[in-house]
Amino acid sequence: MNLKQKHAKNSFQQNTEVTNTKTVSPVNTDGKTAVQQTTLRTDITKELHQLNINKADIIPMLKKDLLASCEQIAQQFELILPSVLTIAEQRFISMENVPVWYDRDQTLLFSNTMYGFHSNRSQTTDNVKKINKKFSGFTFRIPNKREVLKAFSINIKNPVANKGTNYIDFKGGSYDSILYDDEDYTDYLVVDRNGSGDLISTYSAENTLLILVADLINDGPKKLTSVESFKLWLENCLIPKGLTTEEKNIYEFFAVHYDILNRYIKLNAAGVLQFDFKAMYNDVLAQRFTEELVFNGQTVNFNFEKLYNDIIQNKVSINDFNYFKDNLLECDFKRANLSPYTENRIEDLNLGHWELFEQDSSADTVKINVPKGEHFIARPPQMDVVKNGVCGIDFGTKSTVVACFENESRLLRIGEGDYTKVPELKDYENPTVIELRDLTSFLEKYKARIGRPFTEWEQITVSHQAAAAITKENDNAGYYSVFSELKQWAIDKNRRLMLCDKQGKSLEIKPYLELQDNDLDPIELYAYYLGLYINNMNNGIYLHYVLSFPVNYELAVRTKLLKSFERGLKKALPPALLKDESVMKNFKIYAGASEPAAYAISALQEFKLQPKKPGEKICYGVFDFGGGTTDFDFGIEEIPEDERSKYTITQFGSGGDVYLGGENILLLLAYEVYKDNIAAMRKEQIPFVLPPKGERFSGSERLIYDRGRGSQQAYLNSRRLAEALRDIWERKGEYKEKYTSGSYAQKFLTNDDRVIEVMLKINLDKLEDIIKTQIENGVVNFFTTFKNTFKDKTLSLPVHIFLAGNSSKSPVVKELFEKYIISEEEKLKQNILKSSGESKKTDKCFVLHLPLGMEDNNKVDAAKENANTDNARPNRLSTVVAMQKDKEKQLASLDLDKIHTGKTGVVFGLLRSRKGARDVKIINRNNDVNNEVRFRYLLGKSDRENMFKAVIGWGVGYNVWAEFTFADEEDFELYYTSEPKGVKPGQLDAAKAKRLVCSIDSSDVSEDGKIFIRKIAPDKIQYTVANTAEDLNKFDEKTWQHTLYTVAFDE
Amino acid sequence: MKVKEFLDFLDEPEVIEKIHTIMGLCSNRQNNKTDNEFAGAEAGSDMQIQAAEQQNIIMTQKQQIQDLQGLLQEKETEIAYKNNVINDYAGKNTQQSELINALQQQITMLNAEKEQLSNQLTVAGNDIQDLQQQKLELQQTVEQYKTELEERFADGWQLYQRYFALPERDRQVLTSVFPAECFEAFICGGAKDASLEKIWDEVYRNLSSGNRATAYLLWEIFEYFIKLVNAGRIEGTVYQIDDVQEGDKYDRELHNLTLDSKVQGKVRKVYLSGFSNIYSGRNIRKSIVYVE
Repeated sequence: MNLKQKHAKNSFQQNTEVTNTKTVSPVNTDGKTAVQQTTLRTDITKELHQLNINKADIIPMLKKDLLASCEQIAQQFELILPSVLTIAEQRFISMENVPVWYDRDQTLLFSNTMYGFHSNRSQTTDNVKKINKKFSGFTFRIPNKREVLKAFSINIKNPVANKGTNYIDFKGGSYDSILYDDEDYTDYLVVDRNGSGDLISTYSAENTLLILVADLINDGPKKLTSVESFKLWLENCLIPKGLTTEEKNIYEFFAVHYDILNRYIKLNAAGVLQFDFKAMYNDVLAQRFTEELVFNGQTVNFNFEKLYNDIIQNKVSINDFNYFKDNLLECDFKRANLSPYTENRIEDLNLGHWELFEQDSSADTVKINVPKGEHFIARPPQMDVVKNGVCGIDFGTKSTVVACFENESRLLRIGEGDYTKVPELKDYENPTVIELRDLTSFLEKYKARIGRPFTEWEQITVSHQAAAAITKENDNAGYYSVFSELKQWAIDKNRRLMLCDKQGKSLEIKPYLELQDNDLDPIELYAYYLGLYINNMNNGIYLHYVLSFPVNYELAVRTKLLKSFERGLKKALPPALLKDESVMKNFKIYAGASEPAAYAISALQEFKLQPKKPGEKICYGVFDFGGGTTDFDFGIEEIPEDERSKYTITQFGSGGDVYLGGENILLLLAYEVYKDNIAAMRKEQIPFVLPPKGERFSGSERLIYDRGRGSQQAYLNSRRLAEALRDIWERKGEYKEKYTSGSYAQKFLTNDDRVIEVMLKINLDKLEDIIKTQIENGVVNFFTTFKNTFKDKTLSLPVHIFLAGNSSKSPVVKELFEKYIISEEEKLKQNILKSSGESKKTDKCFVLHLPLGMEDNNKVDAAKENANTDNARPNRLSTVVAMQKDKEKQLASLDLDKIHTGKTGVVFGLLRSRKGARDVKIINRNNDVNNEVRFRYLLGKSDRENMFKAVIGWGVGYNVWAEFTFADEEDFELYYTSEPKGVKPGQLDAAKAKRLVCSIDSSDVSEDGKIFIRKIAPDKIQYTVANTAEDLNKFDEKTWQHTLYTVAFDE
Repeated sequence: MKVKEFLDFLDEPEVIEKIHTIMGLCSNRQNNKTDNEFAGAEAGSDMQIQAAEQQNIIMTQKQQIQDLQGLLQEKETEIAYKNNVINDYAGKNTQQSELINALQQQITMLNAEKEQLSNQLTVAGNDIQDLQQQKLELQQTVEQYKTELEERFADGWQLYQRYFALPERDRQVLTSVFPAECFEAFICGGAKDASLEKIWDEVYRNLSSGNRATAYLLWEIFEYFIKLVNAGRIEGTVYQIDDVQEGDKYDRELHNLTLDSKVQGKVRKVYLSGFSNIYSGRNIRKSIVYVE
C-alpha cells in the first residue's frame, strides 16, 4: 500500500470516528442532559452550559478559524521547504518510503532492488522477462544505454557504484556489466562504466546486473530544478531521505493531499515557492475547496457551508470558543472604546457577564454546548445597580463633566476608554462633540435592541476622539461629520443642521425643539455614549441622574433636554434591566441646581465660606464665563432655621450674555484680523463667517456669511484662524513676538477650495482691546445685574464673587473685576456719605475668587512656558522641573477625580443639590411658579437721545398685559434687549438693542386705542389693541374682539 | 729627632755629606786629640802651626758647622714648614678626602639625579610622542569636524538648491519661512521653532495632495532643521521626531488618523512621523497613521 492508499484508509477511518464523536444531541460534555435555559435569578451569577449564539456570529467565527487553519498549513509548508530544497539539490537522492533512488539529472527513479545474472544471452532475456516490473506504485523498465551511462559512468559519483572502479558490488559479487535495452535489438545488451559494451554471449554465461528504472515525467529525461523535483516528489508521494521525523510527518501530509493542495503551492512574485493560504481561504469561502484534511492529528473540515450547517444543527461542536469569548470581552471596546474586560469577567463565578445573562433565544440563534474546560458565567445586571448612586452631568457648551456619587463624588473619564493610562485632569472635561462615521450602520444597530445595542465606536465617536477630528487639516470633506455645537443648537429655535457622515450619507436635522421622538437626536446619541461610560461592568449601573442647565434655559428646552438624556442614558442600560420594572421604577433624571448655583455650592465649600450658624448669610455672585456663553447668578447661602437641609441657596437674580464666551471671542478676534487683511482676502476670495457680535462691512456680501449659512470653507477658515489666535486669548508664552514679528502667515481655503497662505498683519493692541471690551461689557452687566438684584434686599457683606468657567482663567477677567470692584466700592462709599453723612470704609465689600484650582496651575504653567520658549538657563529650567514635580505629587495625592476646578466644580455642586440629600436646597426665585425662566428681554423704545428706554421690564410677569404704545398707526417699532444696562434709561444706545417692526390690522388702528403686550414664553409675546388696561382685565382669548398677534424674538 | 734620623729625613745629599764630613772630623779630632796628646809636645810648633791651621780649619769648620747649623735650622724650619705643609697637606688631604667623599657622594647623587632625569627625559620623550600623537589626532578631528561642518552646511546648501529649484507654487506657502532665495536666509529661516511646525505642515499638505517628490524634499529639510534647532538649544535635544512603528496601538494623543482609518486597532502604516518637544513632553504634531 502506498502512502496515498494508506492515508486514504486512515482518513476514512478518522472521518468515521469524527462522525461518531461529533454527531451529538445537545448534551453536556459531562454526560448530563442540558437544562433548557429558563429565567435566571437576578441576585446571583450562574454558570452556563449552553450558549445561545447568533447564527450571524458563527460565520465570522468559522471564517476566522478556517483562515487560521489555512495559515497554519502555509506555516507548516514553510517549515519543511528549506530542508527539502536542500536535499533536492543533490544529484542522487534515496527515498524513504519507496525502495528507489532518484536521479535528478534524468528525472528517473532507479530501483534499489537489483538483479544479478550469470547466464547467456537468451537465458538473460528470459530471466528479465520473469521479473515483475510494477511495484511500489511505479512501472519500471530496463534502462537504455544513455540512461545507464549517465547514471553509472566511471566519472559519476553514484553511491550505488564503487567509486573509481568499473564495478558495482551486489550480493557478494562485483559486476561490471549493466544490462540495457536497445530498441534495435531484441535481446538485451550490456555496458560497463567505461562505456564499453556489447551483446551478451550467446553461449557462455556472463555476469550481468539489471537495475530497473521508472519514468516520473513523460517528456523524456531531463534535469529539473530543486523546486520542480520537490513538486514531482509530492505528486508521486515520494519522501526523500534526510528529513527529520517532524519534517517527514509534515511532508507526508502534503504528499498525501497533493492532488487537492497543489494549486496553492506556487511561486510568489519573488520567485520563492510558497503555500498561498489566502487563495485557499478564498476558495474555502467560495465553496471551491470543500475537502476534509487530517492535519496535526486533527481532522479539519474545509467545507464551509457544511460546517456552518453542522454547527447550527449541533451535529458538530465548536472547537474554539475564543472567538465568542473575545466578542464578549470586547463588547464595550467595540461599542465605546472602553478597555476590554479581562478573561475572568467570563470565567470567575464572582464576576460574570451581562450579555450571557441576556442571551438572545430568537430564531436567529443556535444553542451550542459549552465544552469541558470552558466556563461562561452569566451575571444579572441587577447585581450591579449602585443602590445609592447618583450621577451628576454638567452638559456644557464646549465640554461635559460627569461625576458619580456613592459615598463620595468622583469624576468620570468619558471617551478615554483606556483606563490603564495615567489619568490627566483634561480627561475629565469631555468635549461635547460627536463625530458621525457611519450613521446608517449605527442607526440600524441602535434601533435593533432596546438597551446596550451592538453599535460600534467605528460608527460614531464622541468626546476627545471626535474633538480630534474637528481641526484635522486636509480633512475638509470631514467637516460636516463632526458636530460640536450640540448645546448651541438646542437653544436656537431656528437652527437646522446639515450633517454628513464619513460614508457620505447626509442628513438634515430640524431645530431641536421641533424634533419628534423618532427623529435622530444628536443629543440623545451623546447621552447614550455618556451612559455607556457611566454604566458598564467595571463601573456599575446608576439609575439616578441630575443635570445642570444654564440659568436662562427656558422650560421647554430643559424639559426636552431631560427627555433626550433619559432616552440616551436608558439606551445604555442592559435590556434585562430595562425590562425589570421593579428596578426601573427607581430610574430618575431631573434638573438640579443651575450651573452657576452649582458652582457657587462648590466654591463656597472649597473656599470655606459656608455659613457656620443659622442667621449667617453669605452673599455671592457667580460670573460663569464659559466657552460659548456667560451666565451670572446671585444668591445667598444660609443655614435654614428648620434644619430641613444643611444649607439653602436662594437665587435672586440672574443674567448673562448668550454670546460672551471664550470661543466666541476667538471667532471675533479672527474676524477682526480678517478685516484688517481684507485686501488679501478679497484678492484671493477667501470666505469667512460672521461671528456673534461681529458687524458687517461694506463689500462683504460675497465673502462674509451669516452663521448657519456659511460654506464649509468659510467655517473652516473662521475656525482655523480662531485656533491660530488662541495664544493671544490665553496669553500663552511669547505670544506677542509670535504675532508681531511681521512674518505671521496662515493658510486659508478660497471659495474654489484652493489653499493659500496669507501673510497677516496683526494689530495685537487692537485685538487685546477687543478682548478687554467684550469682557468689560460682561463685567459691567454683571455689576448692573447685581445692583438690580440686590437693590431691595439686605446685603450681607462681603459679597463673594466667584469666577467660574474655563474662560475666567483669562487674566483680563481678573484685572477688570478688580478695577470695577474698586469703582463700585468707591461709589458705595459716596452713596453712604450722601445718604447718611457718614464716611464708611467700603473696601472688602467684594471679595473676588479666582476659579477653583487656578492659582497653583498658573505658576507652574507660566514658568513652564517661559522655560520652553526661550533659551532659559538650566537653573531656571530645573526650578520649573521641581515645581512641576511638586505639582504632580500634589495632584497625585489629591486624586485627580476629586479635584474641583472652575469647570468641574459645577458637577460637584450639582451632586450636593440632589434630591433627598438634604444637603443644599435650592430656592430659585428667578423662575416663575411654573418653573419657567423669566422673559429674556426688556421691551422698549428709542428715546429722543436715541438711547434705549425700557417700557416693559423684567418685573412684569407672564400673561400680564402691559401698555406699550399707541395704536394710531398700522406699524410700530419695538426695541428689545437682554442687556441689564437697558434697565435704566439713557444707559444703552438704541442701536445696540434689536429692533422689530410689528403691525396691526388697519381695522385695529384707532386714535384712542393702545397697544398692549403680554409675555407668553421666554422669547415670545402677544400684543393686541385695547382702549384701557381695564378692558383687558377679563381678557378671554376666545371672545376678544381685536386681533391677537404673536411674535417670537430672535436672539 | 736624632741626627741620623734627621739626615735620613733630610733630602740634601750635599748637606748630608758635609755633615758626615764634619762629624767624621770631629770624631777624628777627638780621637786624634787623644792620640796626639802624647805626641803633641814635640810637634809643638808644628803643632802650633798645625794648631793654628787646625784652628783655622776648626774655625772654618765651626763656621761651617754654624752654617750647617744655620742650614740645619733652616732645614729644620724647612722641615717644620714642610711638616706643616705636610700636615697641611695631610689636613688638606683629609679635607680633600672628605671633599672627595663628599664629591663622590655628590657624584652618586648626581648620577642618581642624572638617572632620574634621564628617566624623566625618557618619560618626557614619551609624553612628547603622545602629545604629538594627540596633536595629530586632534588635527585629524579638527579636519573631520571641519569636513563635517562643511558637509553639514554642504547638506544645507544642497537642500537649499533643491528647494529653490522647486516650482514657485510649491514654495509659496513657505515664503514666511524662506522669504528670499539666499542661503543665509534659508538657514536662519529654517532653524526656528515656529518654522519646524510650518515645514512639517507643508510636508503633510504635499503628501495629502499626492505631491510626493516635494513632500520628501521638505521632509529632508525638516530633518535637517530639527537638528539645527536642537544644536542651538542649551538643553540639547529639545525636538524629536516621534518613533511610531507599525504594530503600535493607536493612541489619540500621538496619532492622527488618515481619512480611511479605523478609530480602533493598531498602526498599520505610518505616513508621516510627528514630532514632540521632549523637554516639555508636549506633542507638537501628531504622526499621520493608518489604523486597522
